[in-house]
Amino acid sequence: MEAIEKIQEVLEDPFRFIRDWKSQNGQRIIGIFLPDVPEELIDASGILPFAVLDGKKSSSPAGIIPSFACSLITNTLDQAYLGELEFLDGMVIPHLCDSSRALFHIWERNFSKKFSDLIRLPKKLSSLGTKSYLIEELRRFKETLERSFGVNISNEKLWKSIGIYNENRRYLKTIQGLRTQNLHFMNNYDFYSLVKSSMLMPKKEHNEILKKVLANMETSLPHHDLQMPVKVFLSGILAEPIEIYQWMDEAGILVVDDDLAVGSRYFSYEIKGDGDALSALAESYFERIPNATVQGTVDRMGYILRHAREYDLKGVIFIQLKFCEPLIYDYPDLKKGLDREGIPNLLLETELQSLAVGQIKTRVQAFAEILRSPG
Amino acid sequence: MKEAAVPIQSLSLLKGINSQYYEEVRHAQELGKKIAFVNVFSPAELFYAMDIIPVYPENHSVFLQAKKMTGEVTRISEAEGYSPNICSYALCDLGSTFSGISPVGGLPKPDFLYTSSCQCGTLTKWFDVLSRYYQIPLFLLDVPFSGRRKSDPFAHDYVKKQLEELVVFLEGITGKGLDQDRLKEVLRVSEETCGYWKGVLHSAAKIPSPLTVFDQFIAMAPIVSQRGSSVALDFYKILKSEMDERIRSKIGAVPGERYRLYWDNLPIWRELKWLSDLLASFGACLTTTIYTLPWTSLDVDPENPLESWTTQYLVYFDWHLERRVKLILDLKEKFFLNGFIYHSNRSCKMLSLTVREIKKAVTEATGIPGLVIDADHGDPRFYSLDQIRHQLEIYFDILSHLKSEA
Repeated sequence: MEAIEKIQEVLEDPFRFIRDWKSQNGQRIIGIFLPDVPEELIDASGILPFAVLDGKKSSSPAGIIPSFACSLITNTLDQAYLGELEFLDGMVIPHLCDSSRALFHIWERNFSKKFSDLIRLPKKLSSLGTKSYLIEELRRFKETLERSFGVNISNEKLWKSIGIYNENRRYLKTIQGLRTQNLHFMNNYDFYSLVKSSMLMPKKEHNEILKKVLANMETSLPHHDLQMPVKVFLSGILAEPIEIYQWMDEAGILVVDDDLAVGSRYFSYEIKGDGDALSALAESYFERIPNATVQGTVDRMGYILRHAREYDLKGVIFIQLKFCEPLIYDYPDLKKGLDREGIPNLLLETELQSLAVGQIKTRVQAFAEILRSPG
Repeated sequence: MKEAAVPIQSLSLLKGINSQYYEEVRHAQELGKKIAFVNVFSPAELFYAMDIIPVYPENHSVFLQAKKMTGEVTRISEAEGYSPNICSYALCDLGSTFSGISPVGGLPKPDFLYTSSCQCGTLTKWFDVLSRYYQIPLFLLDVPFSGRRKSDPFAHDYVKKQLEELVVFLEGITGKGLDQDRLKEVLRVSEETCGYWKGVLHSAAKIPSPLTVFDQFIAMAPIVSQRGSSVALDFYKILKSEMDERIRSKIGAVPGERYRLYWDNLPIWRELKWLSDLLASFGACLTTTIYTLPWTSLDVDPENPLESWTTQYLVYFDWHLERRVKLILDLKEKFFLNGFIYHSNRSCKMLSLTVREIKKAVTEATGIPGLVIDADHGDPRFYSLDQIRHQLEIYFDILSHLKSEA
């Protein structure tokens, strides 16, 4: 499929793609550290948000940051020190955990010539003050962008960006729904490539690709001669290296649903309303999929169980980013809860650009066999 | 032969103070008091004023680690699925919670949990686990730090609103209203106690220093957990007067004090004695640290405590990179420091991920090299004493050359 080929070109070397894009379009680019940065505000200021998830492997920050930081943090600094992120006009890092806060302060100190901002998303949703705090924090971020880049983000502009992002979310959700209805429509690798690439390229362009993919899916006939895959739920922040999805494909595992930041949490909601766009944006944070850095396991557990039942899933795979404390603390109780329900589950510890992939592949295959075995 | 150090007599009082504290904790119910598990950056005065005894799982883990019981309890939490890649305080505490193993006779089931996101994100997740385990509520105070920027008025409103909600929450737990006069009295005692603590820490500015950072670590439990009570006040009064006496008599904590060093981050609890002896053998006195400083000036206005706590949370407890550098440079002047040791503590991502940046900045500003020690505040699997000794030998060699050149 031509559309998917374009996606593969982006994913092959996201930095090269975005550098080329910048030299053609002359538009500014702001790097975002996952997850949950209010990208619509960046987009409405005429700047392209770009997720820093990839890069060359190196050990350059060893002298800067200790080895017990997670690979999302290390990789971001790694790429910056290697000069791979020169194309960025700024960086936005949310305070999600102790490590992301440290990343921001190291970034601020070493790359101070460029714009940088620490977004303080609330960690507590139940205070009566949370919503007004969040609106004001988004307003602060908006005004900081306006001041730093000499732009004006009007309510109309913000709604326009929200519209484009809503469209993107809707397409991804529809494609995900079609996959659930017919398990042979699209493999894991292709689907999660679509999701990831959405964070790496202009949304309008991505929407055009998704439109084509969707049209193609709606007219194509599913294959019936293939073995039925086993359906699983994937839990964590992100599955990298992205080849993990290929191994699942090979093992006959189909990820029907997930709670990943580079996954359903990115597209499972819509920003509704018409009045004040900042309020609507803030409101959406209360409707997103439970997140290990914000809420407790009870919410995450409830979410996983509800979705596992809804789609009659056979198992759950936890993708744990090594040294990611929020995920580590949640895991044992989540596992116990699933065990109590008799839902088989697997824990995979991963690192971005990990080289120790053989073991993960073997474990995915073994898990698929367990899920497939009768009784 | 080297001169022997004169021990600080008042520190021997701590054993009794600590065991009495845990005894009271165990009998809280009979005393008509509630128990809260809280983090060290919390308004202890508010809890005491409402007949709630604050208990610090972090402190309890210190006891476990100092008594070399880490392996015994982490085996249990790891068997429950917790990875050793989290904070060893949490790993020890969870193992102790699941098994009842404790050097102080165990902790009772608390009535509720309180933590703020300001100290570290780890505590929120750790207390979440405890909240599910005990089936009790967790009150989380969410603090949006501003870093180098000025604190935002809306962030101030958000924190203050949550503190108001905390008071209502506590009134619900205890079934009685907050007695403002009682709170004022507790705050008065707390302020006085902090004053003595400040005096104790500042006495280290004298040459020779009458106490080391190791002594501060040993002496800090009551200022964290019992400030606002007469027990803590009496103890720091005694300790302060002993410091004054040592200063008058020129008794240094490290005989033949040659180096006055800064220590960054938490201690390596189970190696306090080992490291203290080793440093003393080089004539090195760990003179100051920012780790014990927060309780020197909490500055709570008794007429408007919620307002003060809000600022305290948002500004005073925001130990971001630039602020730490500034604090360390101030300490260098005040305490006549001539060396810096930074503990890159595997357990504490909050303090440790920026340690190498801080070292770089301090060295640039002072021209004095620093030493980073890779260790862990409580889990001996993650450090090597031989390596630390070797690093220190090299470091003191470098410092001695600098000294002779100067």
